[in-house]
Amino acid sequence: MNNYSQRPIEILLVEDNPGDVRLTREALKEYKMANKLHVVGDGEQAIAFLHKSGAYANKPRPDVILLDLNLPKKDGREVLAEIKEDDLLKQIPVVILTMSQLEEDILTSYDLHANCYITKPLDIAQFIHVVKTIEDFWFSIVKLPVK
Amino acid sequence: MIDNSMLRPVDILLVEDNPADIRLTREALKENKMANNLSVVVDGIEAMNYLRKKGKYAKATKPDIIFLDLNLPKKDGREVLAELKQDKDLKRIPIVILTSSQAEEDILKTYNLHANCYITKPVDFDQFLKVVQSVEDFWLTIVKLPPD
Amino acid sequence: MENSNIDSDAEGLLGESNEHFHDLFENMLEGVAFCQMIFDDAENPVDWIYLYVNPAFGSLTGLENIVGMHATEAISGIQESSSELFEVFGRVASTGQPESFEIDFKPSSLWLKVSASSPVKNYFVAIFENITGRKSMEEELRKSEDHSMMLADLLEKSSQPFAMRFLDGKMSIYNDAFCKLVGYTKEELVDFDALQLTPLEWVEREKVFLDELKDSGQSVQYEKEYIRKDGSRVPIEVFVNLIRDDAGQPKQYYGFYTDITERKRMEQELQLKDFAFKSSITPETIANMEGFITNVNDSFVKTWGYESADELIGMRMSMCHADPNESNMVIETAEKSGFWSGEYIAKKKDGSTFIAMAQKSLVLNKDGNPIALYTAAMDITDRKRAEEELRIRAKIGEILLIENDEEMFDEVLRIVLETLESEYGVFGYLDEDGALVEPTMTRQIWDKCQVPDKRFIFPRDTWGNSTWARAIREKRTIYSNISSENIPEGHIGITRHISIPIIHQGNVVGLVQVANKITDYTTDDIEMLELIGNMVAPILDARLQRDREGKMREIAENQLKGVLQNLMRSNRDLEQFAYVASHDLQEPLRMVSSYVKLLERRYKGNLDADADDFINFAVDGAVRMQALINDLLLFSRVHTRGKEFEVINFEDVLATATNNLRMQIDENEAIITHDPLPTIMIDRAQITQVLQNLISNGIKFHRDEESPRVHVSAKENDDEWTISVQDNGIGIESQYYDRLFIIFQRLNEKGKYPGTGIGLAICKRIIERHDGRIWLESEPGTGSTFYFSIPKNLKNTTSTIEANLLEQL
Repeated sequence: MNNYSQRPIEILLVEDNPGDVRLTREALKEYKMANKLHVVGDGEQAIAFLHKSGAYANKPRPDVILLDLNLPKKDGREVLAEIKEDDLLKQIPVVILTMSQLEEDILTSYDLHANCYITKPLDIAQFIHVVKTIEDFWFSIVKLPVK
Repeated sequence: MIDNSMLRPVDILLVEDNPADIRLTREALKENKMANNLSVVVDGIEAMNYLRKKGKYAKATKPDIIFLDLNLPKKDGREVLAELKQDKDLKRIPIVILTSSQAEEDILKTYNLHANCYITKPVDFDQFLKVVQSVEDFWLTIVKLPPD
Repeated sequence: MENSNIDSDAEGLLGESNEHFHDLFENMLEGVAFCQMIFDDAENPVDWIYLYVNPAFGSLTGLENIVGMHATEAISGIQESSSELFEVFGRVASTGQPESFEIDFKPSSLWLKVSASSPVKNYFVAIFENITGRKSMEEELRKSEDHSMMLADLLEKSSQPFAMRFLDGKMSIYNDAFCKLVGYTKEELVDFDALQLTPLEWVEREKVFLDELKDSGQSVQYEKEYIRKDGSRVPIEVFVNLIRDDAGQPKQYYGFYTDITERKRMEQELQLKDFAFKSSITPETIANMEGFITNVNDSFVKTWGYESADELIGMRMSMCHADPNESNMVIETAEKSGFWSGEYIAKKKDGSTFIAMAQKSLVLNKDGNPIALYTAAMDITDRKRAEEELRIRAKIGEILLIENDEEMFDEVLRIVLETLESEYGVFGYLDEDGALVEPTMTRQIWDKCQVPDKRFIFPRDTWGNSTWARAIREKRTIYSNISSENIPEGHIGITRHISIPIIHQGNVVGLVQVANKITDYTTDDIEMLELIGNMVAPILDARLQRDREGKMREIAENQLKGVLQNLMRSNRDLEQFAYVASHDLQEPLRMVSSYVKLLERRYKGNLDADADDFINFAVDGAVRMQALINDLLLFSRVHTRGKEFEVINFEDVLATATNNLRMQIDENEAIITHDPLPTIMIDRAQITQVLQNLISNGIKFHRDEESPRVHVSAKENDDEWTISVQDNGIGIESQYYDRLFIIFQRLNEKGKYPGTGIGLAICKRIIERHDGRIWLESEPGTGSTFYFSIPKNLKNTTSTIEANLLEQL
């Protein structure tokens, strides 16, 4: 893998649980490749971030979105739908990272073209392991679309 | 994490025209501990038939995941992708593009067509093993696949 | 008028011949009155009674029918007006002594001589004589005596010399002034011979005047000179007349003499002035207050184109002006303020005009009254022309600075039309094909020329034989004040025109034409136009050059573009080739490599050692091939995948590179250090590549005894930055410096140091894309320092051009 000119990977984490945010951040820190974590706490902010509106005017476009489903203000499913309908945003891989194990949530998410659906493990160590796997897979193995 | 999807072997559909690559993939998958059933179709038409259970594929099982090459005879992989992702019965199936192309246009296009992820087949076999392993690890253990 | 005294014995007389006396009295011319005196109580005479008056009395006094009346009754107011009568008559009547006296008798306004006597006491007789005539004569005589005394006095006291002499020259009467004039005293002139006073040379002349006087009896006036006592001459003017005796013979001359020394002097002055006037080179005239020329000098005559002064004298001053009204205004001003100075259009004898500058001033006499208007004038046509030229030069100079060609040409044409008072004009230049380009024409030509094809460019072969074409070909001015006869359809009628080729250093660079001035074009006009042409010539030439250069530059640019396109194409081809090659090569390579590896995995341990070796070599080959292909791809993509230059902090670049080399750095325990690094304009990804490559090499080629150290620093020059990457590695011999950067050249045996050998070639290509240079210094056994320079003012234009051309390709 040629990383001659890697710029840091931009990750957008849409998560309202501060604990999970913290864990994700810790897991990402250890990652061998440069990455930058952006966090928004609700669906509206997520959309604003992606549209670069208001306070998010100078924010970069994320290479990957880690999206929780149950969010205040705007629901994660809505956010997913909006992203995957937007011609400019739909290429961004969206990893649904949620507590829910409900079948309907899984189905809805895949229907709405989520790239993959992952349930957050309760165990912290597991959680970190999951994040690392996500990292490994999406940042090393997978080819992400170039902006 | 143990979950339901682990209890039965994972059905993988490989859409690939290069026999050498097919063999490689098969061997790579064998290396893995995970139980899986690999079905192979060699062109785009066959792929659609299989998934639609047409003709000789009437008894085919719906795959849990599709590994899709792009450059296929008869029907191009991109077309297959597009069709599948528009088919309400089939669109949920995660499609992993597994191709030798590194072309940015291909990457972008396939993501636009809602490919779940795009992987370039590494030249190095060890890498290839790693990749396949990674794919398995991720998609077959971490990720929640859509239930039937 | 004899006094007739009557005897005092009146009674007797009366009594005796009453009738005789009565007749006598009745016919006497003198007035007689016989009266009785009335005294008051104080014996003062207060009145008288008229007892008898004769008719003469009546006519002399104007009193009628007064017999028996009191005087106070008969003559009202007599007491007041002639009170002395009462006294005298009273005295005569009472004393009996006769008296006579004169009285101005107011009631009848007569002077009367009264003789009163008293024949009988208290009675008197008065005889009246009318002496009015005599009285007035006496009065006259007295007056004239006074008069002549006054006259004599006046003459004597007068400052006007006056003298009388007899014909023989003896002086008779002379006054002080005369004495002063001739310098003799009164006494000296007593027996003086006045003829001495006249110098010899004047005698003849004087004789003529004196003869005239004798013959005509009219006084004469002439000039002469006197010799004074001291021998000096004094010019005088003489007014002479004759006094004749009763027989009419000339007796004496009398004369009034005026010393005209002053006058003579003034006359001389005037003569001098006149001379100066006449001979002055400044045209001068004098006109009277009615505006007629009274005097004019030769210079004026000549300047105004006349033959002699006579032609002008008596002519109205205003005839010398082109506009007589203007002249009148000027004269008015001069008369009001005493002075006028300014320019006007003068008119010569032949009617032609020129510009004159004049000063007029009123000439005043001694009393300060204007008597003439003096004019000094100059033909300033030349000066005016020089001024005009200067003005035109300045204007044109300004105009030629205008950058916009169309504007400049328009302005020049406007000036030309204005200066030459022409209706139409054309102004153009020759392009380097020799065609006449007319960027500007007067609007009328544009509008009026209904020629369907209003061409502004006239290729040389279409010129034909029109005036302007000939002017250009023959390199000379062509002009005409005669209307052109055959006017092509749709063109305007030209009455007068000038066509001038604009010549610069012997070559015709343009053309200017004017037409349809109301009056004829003069040589001055032609000169002016030529002047303008000359001024504009260098500019036209310069523009022509510029056009030529512009064209050449265009050609050069096109060629360059072509070259660039070729270059781009070849880069693209290279990249495509490399891509295709690599892609197509990769697949079989992958097969080889993968299956060999699979073999390895599957049968490791189950094969002999040789087989293991074989497998290793095979795999190794494949791996290296892979790396080579990747590097080739990178190499080919340097230009075509290059991004726009951005301002980047070099320290970030170093951080990224170091990060990417983390594994290599850690494995080799390498230490990377750096100095403060600048912010410069670069393609971030590519320079990161370079830095990474150089650092990686620095680590890779380390000496066994030391852990690798790499130091990155930067140096600023005037127009570039030089980055250096210094290592403490094995070093490179100088003979190999050049080969380093060539693709695939390896200096060490295969296998000792990993690497494809393309790295530095890629670096060089990248640096060259940045218009920089890459080189090294090295000491075998000590280390190497790689340098690369990045110019400061990197522009993105090249890449934009590249991008554009890329699209076109």
